[in-house]
Amino acid sequence: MKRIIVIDDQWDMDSPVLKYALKASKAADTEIIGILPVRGATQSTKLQRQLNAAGQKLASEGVSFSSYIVGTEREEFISRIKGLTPASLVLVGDTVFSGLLKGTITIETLKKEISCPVTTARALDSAPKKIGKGINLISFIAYAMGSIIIYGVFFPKIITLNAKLFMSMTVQGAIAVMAVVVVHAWVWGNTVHVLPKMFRLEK
Amino acid sequence: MVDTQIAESVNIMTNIFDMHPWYMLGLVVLGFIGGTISGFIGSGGAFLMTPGMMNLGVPGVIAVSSNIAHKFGKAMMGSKKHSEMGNVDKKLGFFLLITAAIGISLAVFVNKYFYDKLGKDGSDLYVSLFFVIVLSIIGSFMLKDALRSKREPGSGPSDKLLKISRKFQLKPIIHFKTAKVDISLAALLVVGLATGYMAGTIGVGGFIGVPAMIYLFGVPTAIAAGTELFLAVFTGGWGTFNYALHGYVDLRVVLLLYVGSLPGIYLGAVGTKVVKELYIRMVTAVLILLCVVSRLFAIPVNCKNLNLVDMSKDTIAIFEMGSKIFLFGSGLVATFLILYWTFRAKAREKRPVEVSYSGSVE
Repeated sequence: MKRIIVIDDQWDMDSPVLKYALKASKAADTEIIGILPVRGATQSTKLQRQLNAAGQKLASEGVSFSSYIVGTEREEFISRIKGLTPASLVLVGDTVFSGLLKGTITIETLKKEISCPVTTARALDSAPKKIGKGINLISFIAYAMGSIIIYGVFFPKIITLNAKLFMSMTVQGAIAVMAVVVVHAWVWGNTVHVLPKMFRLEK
Repeated sequence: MVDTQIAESVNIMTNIFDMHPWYMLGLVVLGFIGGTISGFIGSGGAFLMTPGMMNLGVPGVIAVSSNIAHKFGKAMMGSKKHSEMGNVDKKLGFFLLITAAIGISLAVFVNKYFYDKLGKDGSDLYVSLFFVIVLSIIGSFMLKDALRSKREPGSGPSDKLLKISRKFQLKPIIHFKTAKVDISLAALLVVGLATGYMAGTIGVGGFIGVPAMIYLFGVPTAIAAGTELFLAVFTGGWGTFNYALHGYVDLRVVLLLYVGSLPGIYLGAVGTKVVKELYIRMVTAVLILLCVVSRLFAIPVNCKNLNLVDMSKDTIAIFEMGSKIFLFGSGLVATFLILYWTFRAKAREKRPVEVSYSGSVE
């Protein structure tokens, strides 16, 4: 099982590092270890709750998750992270080094101290990405034609076919009903699945 | 005899469409509402579509059979997607399937019995009563659990039932690798039977299967939803076959539902990515309970038609209107909210956001 250590100071499900970690964990059997850095010994209840909520959400997605609250003192922080290695990747939230760990630990220090790849969400964002699939016009036209045939030609004939086949209370009638449902769901489903892209709700 | 039965079944929907051609549009709208809600909450939609069709005058048994046929095709599309995402425990699905198939056949037999013995109103009354009893329990439980999560942020689904069920685990125990749980074979068979019976009776097996997997077996939510969809392919297929064998599936109803439902499912599914899980659970619970209220309004009408109670025409009209208002009103409001939240969240994503950080965790 792979291990990803996520260090973040926000811990909501919209946090970019968490989204990357979740995506990576779906691709392979991976456990996520969440780290919430906290100044001194103070433990913020609100952030702890957010961390717990993120943990519950990840668990509901079937991802193995455990979390730790770690002080931001250099020695303590490094030794706790070291104790959790080896890890396939250490993902750090964008505001962690410029906020809570400012003046104590930099990304370079962390990279030097632990022998695992360390990166931030911003660095991953700037990496070249695959361009999302657009609408495949040819297949869309093909499925749309199929849908027109089903609703324009086949649908008006159902009334006649019901008595002869579909509602004839025979095994072949029942199988024909199932076949029509499957074919129609496939054709119509593939015709309209472009809707979120057309409304720009998906890339 | 058989020819008369076939002619009767064929004529039911033809007569309805001839008398009220706009009911065809009503089925399309109903499909869109059910599809959007189904895409948003991850399962179901039938809890609204079955009574919705009955409100449009479709007999209970045909409403249920059309819904199952509709669910069969829909589940095939959804299960493929969930399978690609690694959310399906096929072994768990097959174990549940063993008794789910028996549950469906039993439900079809009982539904057919009421339809043959008591006609449309008898069938409607049976479906409505079953719907009200089962879904009021499930809806209340889900609402209570969602409100608890609201009070205690960070808490997930209740584990009380899971703890109780683990105390009474009868051997043999089976391990499920994808869901990472150990479940007693006896418990699996009971849940499978209940899921099948629910699916066969009111077309909403997922409302037993998914909560049972989460609360009794401790299966992660996403895997429970994916596995239920996988199971729905088989229960939907078997249910469709059984009802079609008795001549109750009118493909016109199924195809009209599909016009609206599949676009709705795709749009509703986008909403799950941008709306908080707690809101999704609350919308589901409130909607189920409103559908229960709608069915409660319909029960006195069925009782009157069966001469079980005496009521004036005006009173019947009030009950019928109340049932329609609650069902379509709650469905339309929920659909509007889902689409509004989705489009608003997407519009916000496109706007540049200024990020500020205080540097303190207090």
